[in-house]
Amino acid sequence: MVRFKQVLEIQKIMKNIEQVRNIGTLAHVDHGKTTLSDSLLMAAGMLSPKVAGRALALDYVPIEQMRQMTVKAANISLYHEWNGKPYIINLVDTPGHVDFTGHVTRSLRVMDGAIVVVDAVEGVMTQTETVVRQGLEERVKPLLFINKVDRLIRELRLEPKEVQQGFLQIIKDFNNLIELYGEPGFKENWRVHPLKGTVAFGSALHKWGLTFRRMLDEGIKFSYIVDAYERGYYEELANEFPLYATILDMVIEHIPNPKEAQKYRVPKLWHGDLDSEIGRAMLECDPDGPLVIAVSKVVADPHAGLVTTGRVFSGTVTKGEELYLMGARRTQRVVQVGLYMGPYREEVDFISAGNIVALLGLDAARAGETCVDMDYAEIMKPFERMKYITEPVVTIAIEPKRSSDLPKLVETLRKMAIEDPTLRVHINQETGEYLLSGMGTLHLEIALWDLKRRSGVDVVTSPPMIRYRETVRDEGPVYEGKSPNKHNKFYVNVEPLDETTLELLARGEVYDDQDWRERAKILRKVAGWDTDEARGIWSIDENFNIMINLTSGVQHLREVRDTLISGFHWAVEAGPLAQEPIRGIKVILRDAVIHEDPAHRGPAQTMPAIKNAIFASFLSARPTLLEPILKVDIKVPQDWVSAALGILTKRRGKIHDMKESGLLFHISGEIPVSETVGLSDDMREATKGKAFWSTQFLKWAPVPESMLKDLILELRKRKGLKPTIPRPEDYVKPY
Amino acid sequence: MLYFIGLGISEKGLSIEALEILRRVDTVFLELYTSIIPDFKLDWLENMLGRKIRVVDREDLEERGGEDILREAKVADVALLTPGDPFIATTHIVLRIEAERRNIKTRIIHSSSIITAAFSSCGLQVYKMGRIVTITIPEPKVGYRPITPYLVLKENLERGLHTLFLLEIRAESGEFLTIPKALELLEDMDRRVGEESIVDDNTLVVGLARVGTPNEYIAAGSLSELKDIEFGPPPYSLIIPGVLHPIEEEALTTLFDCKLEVIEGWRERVKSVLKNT
Repeated sequence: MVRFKQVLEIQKIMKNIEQVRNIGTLAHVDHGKTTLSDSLLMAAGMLSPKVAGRALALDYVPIEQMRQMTVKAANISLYHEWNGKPYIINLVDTPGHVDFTGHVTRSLRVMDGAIVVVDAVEGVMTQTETVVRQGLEERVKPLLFINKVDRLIRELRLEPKEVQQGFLQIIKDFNNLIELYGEPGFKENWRVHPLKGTVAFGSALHKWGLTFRRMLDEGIKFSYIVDAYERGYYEELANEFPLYATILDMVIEHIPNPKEAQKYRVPKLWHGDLDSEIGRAMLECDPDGPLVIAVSKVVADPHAGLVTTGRVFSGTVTKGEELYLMGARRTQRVVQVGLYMGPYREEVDFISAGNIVALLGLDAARAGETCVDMDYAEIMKPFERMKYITEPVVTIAIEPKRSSDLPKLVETLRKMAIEDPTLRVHINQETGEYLLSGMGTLHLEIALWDLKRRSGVDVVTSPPMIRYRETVRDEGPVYEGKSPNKHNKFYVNVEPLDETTLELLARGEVYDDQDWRERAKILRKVAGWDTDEARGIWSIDENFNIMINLTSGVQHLREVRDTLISGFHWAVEAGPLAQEPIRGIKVILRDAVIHEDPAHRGPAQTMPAIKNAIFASFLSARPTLLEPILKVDIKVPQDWVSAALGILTKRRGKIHDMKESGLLFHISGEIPVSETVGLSDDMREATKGKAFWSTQFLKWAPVPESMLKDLILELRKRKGLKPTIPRPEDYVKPY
Repeated sequence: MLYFIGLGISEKGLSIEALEILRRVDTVFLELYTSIIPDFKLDWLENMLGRKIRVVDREDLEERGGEDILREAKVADVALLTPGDPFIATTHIVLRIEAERRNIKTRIIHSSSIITAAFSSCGLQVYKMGRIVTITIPEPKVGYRPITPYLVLKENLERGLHTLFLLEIRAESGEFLTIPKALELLEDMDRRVGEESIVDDNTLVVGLARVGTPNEYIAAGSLSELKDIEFGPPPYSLIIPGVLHPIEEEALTTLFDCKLEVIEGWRERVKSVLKNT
């Protein structure tokens, strides 16, 4: 049944925060996340969209148009009544594929609960594990929806008893994840249980769903469902057990409202002083507190421009207000405040704490931004301290088949890059080619599909090029780097960073603009750093290189400090082996001689000096290239196991684990990105399409020694560099 | 044999001795990247000497360490011409040291330098010259915004000394710092240090352009007055005087129409900055 609600009514509900829920869906790729969102929207999305001032019934909106909206919308607000009370459920968009940047975290930050969708046939997969873990890290309470039950019945023809066995296995696997990754104090209550009503199963495709509790309460037998399929009246199930009602009932009952949730989530999500005015206001979800908004997504709308979507953690945002954007370090005015009605935005005067808001006018904002009341710009701590943007690992060159399509292509690419910060578009200055970089071959495949869908332009692409990293395996000797005028000298050596420190950097526990005492303490205690080194950190770059100053009493050092840091960044941006970014080294400045006059110690003198010293020491420290490695997961019927294994081993893959789960074998392992070109086709062919498989970024690892030299030379050749491997002497002159 | 010969600060600033050597040696090199000499023309000099001159740039002298010059000087007599006095406000001394290390004899033929000419031209006494410092073109993108010029000024003033500022010239790219811009930078440094202000609208400043040439232009007055003056083409320098001798004051008022009240105001300011005198 379709019900209509006007903006004013919605706003009334939103102000009553107990009647709001902020959730999202999480799933392994292809487990049915989008189908679930669609079916929730189609059936329950009865917030009347007001078009041109007229109420427009949802029925008039073509399904396809709705579908497109759900693909693009940063949030969908749903209306649902439970126990006679009206509720607003904000369904926050979560990335469709797993990545290893802050992308997922930004969605998780604004949602209090998650519907984790698991395919009944495939069960709990790696990406299920990843998203559940990430969710638990952000204190997002998970509920389980076992999807594609129709496949169990129709494709695998399982008996009701076997089906139920399968469900129990999935619930057990799921709870194991909660046990493994949940925090004490939370995981005990967050385990799902059929009797508690926190597990549903059904078919998002056929729009039906049930909780086990309801089955028990109402004495519904599973054979009833099986019969419905076998006798061909399964479409009835959608009327009898509508999926949206099951899911939304479950959400309202089991996901805490924003006010309850912020009490325990803010201390985890935000690292500022909880006892401060802002801290208390966020804990209390206070609509009268200082305004704080965490941005989850920025979408380029063809009519409105950039739409910034986020959650108001405290205060109330009003039209015309000036906000300070902590990441962009700018002040911008809110041109329009909007709430979501279904997938549409409706303009309102204000939105208060605990709700999801759509703002126009904040062009400088990007996903992850923290917006704050101007008066608190100085004292607020942002949700994200520093953007450790993970450099995309695969690049393709892209051009339109018809050159007249270029402007359209470029415009679409630009928009896509704004919406997905892990996607990069750049122009090769020498060739004029447009280059598209992403997190993996699969990520680029998805991006190309999206590009085609949005722009309608046919494109030609180059084979993927893999990005590498350069690093060292030994401690390098101290080298003297001289400025071109020979009057400035820097004594520098490089060392590899240990695994513990890299881990701290990756987790964001140690970062560039951190309080130095706090940072030194962590490095000493956790990673066993020497006190002087830990206190001497000057800079940490985004590829996890650390510059340390161990000099004392060097005259004029303070004045060239920032320039030396620029020189350090310049050096690690493109290493000496093949101009790939350097990763995971310590650069230690041990002594320095600096010219008396500012004219003779400028950037043109000091930057090459420090860079040369870094490179010379780097080249003497057993340098190597790191290649991106993907974790690969394959579920395959027994007969095809050896075919799947063969593909992995042929491509320098490693097998980590292999176990039988149900009818399938679950193989987990790793494979270098450079070996994944054409992997989809090979896998399909070798297993006759019977393997389910997926990949995600795992780590950077040294390339095999036997390949190193050839790879360096190949990269140098591709970049037009001198076809020899540089030596330390190339960077330090005899006088 | 390697001669380092100063071109001086004006187009015809070479000494007779320099001319004799330049006519006699096997090769003449010339660098023009460390400063500019107004109206200096290479072909005029070549015509006058009746020989070709090889121009070397920063890359030749710095990146390649002057290797061409050194190699030639090892087997022949070579001269390197450089604006001003060869080793004043340059870093060429490393070339002389390297030459001597390679058993190449060296000799310097001096010429005028802005360091002395600035004082000569504006009537201030060289006995009260404090540390000299360059105000450079800021490069905020790579974090280079020196405050040393301000610190040097302060140190000099505390001892009652005059401060000569050289204004950076990048002859290769044609960039240079103008006097008003340099004064702004000094004010900015003063603000950044945040102590009691020394550089503001009332600070006494001498601005000098093209010193030693027929088109020399010098103005003395308050900082706010100097900011409005059009000084013409570079090179430029600045002096902020310390304690002034009555004759120095007379020079500023008589030669450059400096207002007496500006000098008197500055006299009081300097007194308050002076340490243990």
